[in-house]
Amino acid sequence: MTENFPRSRAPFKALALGLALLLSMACSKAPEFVGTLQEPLLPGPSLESTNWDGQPFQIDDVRGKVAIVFFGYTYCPDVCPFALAKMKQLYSKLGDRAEEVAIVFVSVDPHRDSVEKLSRYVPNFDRRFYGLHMSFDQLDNAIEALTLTVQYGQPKDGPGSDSFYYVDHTGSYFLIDREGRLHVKHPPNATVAQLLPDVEILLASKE
Amino acid sequence: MFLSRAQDTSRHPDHLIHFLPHPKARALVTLVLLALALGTSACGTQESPPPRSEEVAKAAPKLEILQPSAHLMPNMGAVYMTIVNNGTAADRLVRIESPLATGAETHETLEQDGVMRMVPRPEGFEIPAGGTVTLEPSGKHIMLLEPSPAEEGASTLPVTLHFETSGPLEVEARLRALTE
Repeated sequence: MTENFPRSRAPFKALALGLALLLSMACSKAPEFVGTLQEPLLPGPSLESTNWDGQPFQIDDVRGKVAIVFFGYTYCPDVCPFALAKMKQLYSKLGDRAEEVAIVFVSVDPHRDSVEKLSRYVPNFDRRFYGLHMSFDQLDNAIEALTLTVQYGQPKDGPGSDSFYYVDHTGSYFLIDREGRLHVKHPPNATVAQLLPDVEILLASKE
Repeated sequence: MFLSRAQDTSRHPDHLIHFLPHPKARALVTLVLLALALGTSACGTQESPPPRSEEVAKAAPKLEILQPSAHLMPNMGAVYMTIVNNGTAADRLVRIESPLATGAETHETLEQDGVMRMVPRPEGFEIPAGGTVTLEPSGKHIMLLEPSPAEEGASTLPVTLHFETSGPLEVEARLRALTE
């Protein structure tokens, strides 16, 4: 095989150029995120809750990983299932590195989304995803910390009835870095191709 | 209103060429203008034939349902499709039924500053004459309430679309993966 090595110096030049480019990139300022950088970098909400598997959860449990936190509810027909499906696609793009990324779906509908209901919903997408049921108090903390909008619609059969209602909610994706700080925010229509590079930047920085 | 464009434009050439001194130039311009008039009249006829009164009375929607698809979750489902109206009158999707769901409603998802709002559209969706309405994720859609799981191995979901004028239309919505 060795005799097939090219004699030209071109590959070495290319290598040197590549290295120089890499160095210059490393020396340049903070990496550019596709999403919106959150400054100053501060810890996100604690998200104390119960996961779909019945285990208690708080955001510190996934410290050291990159976390993607987003909000929804299981009665949400159109947006939330696609958000979860998007996360599944992201996981498959990440391959082995998915283990270092926590996908955290938080229900904004504690009234209907019991742990049991979440257990029939979230693992349908991926058993590694978190699906959180939290008290209204804890949810309020998250709403305040992340300036979320959560608005409950009127039940279909009138106020007080147990019929179907919508929950209008913030559909953004919140990227938490390995140190537990809210780092980048993406709009609801962010694609996997837009989320992935930002997740990779956060993965590249060690705690 | 229903004058054809040919009648309309044929009045113009003489006006327009008075300023041309040479008869040959006039003839040439007349020819060009006539050709143009003929051309536009041909286009005009293709686009909108002057309707006769009995045709106006018969104006009707002619609907075509393209690529109906659905996804089912434990509590919720949604149905998407493209509705094309090849007819001469508008129609409206007013009611939907599916044997697997306890109810179905017309909705539209709207995004406002990162907030996803679900807006009920109880009036349904109008399909204008010659128009197309697309039901798609994060847009207009049909929501299925508490659907039963599809039968083992089933690849489609039967859905009946009730239109104001065209009446009921049965479609088989392909069960889709959410990642599509």
